[in-house]
Amino acid sequence: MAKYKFAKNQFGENCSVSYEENGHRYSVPITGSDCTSNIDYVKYKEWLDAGNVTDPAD
Amino acid sequence: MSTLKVDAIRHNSATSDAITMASDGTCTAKLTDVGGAALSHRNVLRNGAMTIHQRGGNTTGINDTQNYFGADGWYYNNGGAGTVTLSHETDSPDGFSNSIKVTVTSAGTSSGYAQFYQKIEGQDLQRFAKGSSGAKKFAVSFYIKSKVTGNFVLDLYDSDNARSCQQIYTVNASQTWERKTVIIPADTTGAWDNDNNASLQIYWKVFAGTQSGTLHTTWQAHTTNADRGVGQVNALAANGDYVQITGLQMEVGETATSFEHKSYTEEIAKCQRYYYLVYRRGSSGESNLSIGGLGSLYSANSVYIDLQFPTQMRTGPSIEFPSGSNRFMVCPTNCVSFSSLTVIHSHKNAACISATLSSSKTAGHVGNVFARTDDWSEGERFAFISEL
Repeated sequence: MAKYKFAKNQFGENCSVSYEENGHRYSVPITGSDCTSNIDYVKYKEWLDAGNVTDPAD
Repeated sequence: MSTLKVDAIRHNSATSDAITMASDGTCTAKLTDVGGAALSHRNVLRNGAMTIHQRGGNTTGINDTQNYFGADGWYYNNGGAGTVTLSHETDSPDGFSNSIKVTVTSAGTSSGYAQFYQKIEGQDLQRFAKGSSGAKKFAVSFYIKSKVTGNFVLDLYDSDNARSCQQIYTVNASQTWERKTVIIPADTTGAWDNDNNASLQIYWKVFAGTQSGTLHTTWQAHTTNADRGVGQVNALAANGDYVQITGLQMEVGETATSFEHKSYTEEIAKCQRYYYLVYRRGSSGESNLSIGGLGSLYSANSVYIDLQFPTQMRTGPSIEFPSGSNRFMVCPTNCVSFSSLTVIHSHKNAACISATLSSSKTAGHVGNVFARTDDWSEGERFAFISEL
């Protein structure tokens, strides 16, 4: 199981990723211009760039 | 001691008085700045009095290199400093009500680091005119209380241009609140981006185990972290050692003015740009609480909820929510619970979140949404995050 997992919107598009840390769960937006400087999104991109693969949505 | 008795003070070339004295002992003065800084909103640091702590609680057993929040906007991180507790305290100097404190519970190695720090957006730093011929100095003032006395390092790191500058100050008395002022020189090299990303990181070091080279007492290109803590005493050397800070202020110029207190309303709005807490469960639940938006059932198994933020957030935020089940409920005709949340759309002003329902209901119906707080565990939170 990967650290991140995709979630889809009502149009069937991947719109966010979720992960769990220190007993809390998080959902991070991955679409829209406002999300590119979100530090959770930046960390997710670094994780992807390191060669990791996101789990598919349910 | 003598008293100068005049009715007014005027520059030789001026056509009106700068200061006019009244017979009741007051005066009218035409001030244009305070020590080179603005007359209000001088402090570029947020939550300097540690008033706001939306995440709540204290963090025990810190022995990794992750970032932790002692109060909104204030990170603490360490490596090799043993195991510590980060706490939000009411112990503070006169005129303040809060501070943050790191206390050693298990002493660590002689290498590593420990520090409190804050990141600041570039668009809030333009007043320092960094990178121009008119660059301004930085006046940093704060209160500190430490069990260990000695020299401490204040470290500024320009993350847009990879430049840094440090100054030493001394904690003279053990376990006593002391106010310190540190003046950082101006930097005519490396302008800060005028945007919503972090341009400056300001560090209050409390431990710098790995030291080599010399401090940058003027702004210089960053080479290694090892020279950014040279001279720092290990203030977390033994069990029970602690450091507390509050009243942190950074302003333009070389005069540190009195701390600029803000109302709770002002300060929480500033903090909500980076972290907007909808609800945190304390030691007991508070029955069913609205989360601030209606839920519409897009399908028989899914609910969509639109929420507006009280202030514009720095970026489209992430959400933080409890990992347990049945934390929320929506009641279109009769109620159904849900838990795991997903950000569908998120921008600076609003977000749409969704969740899968625990059982099917009629699609298209709308209902109020609430947190079932009695079923939450202490410390669980529902919040939006756009930290730097």
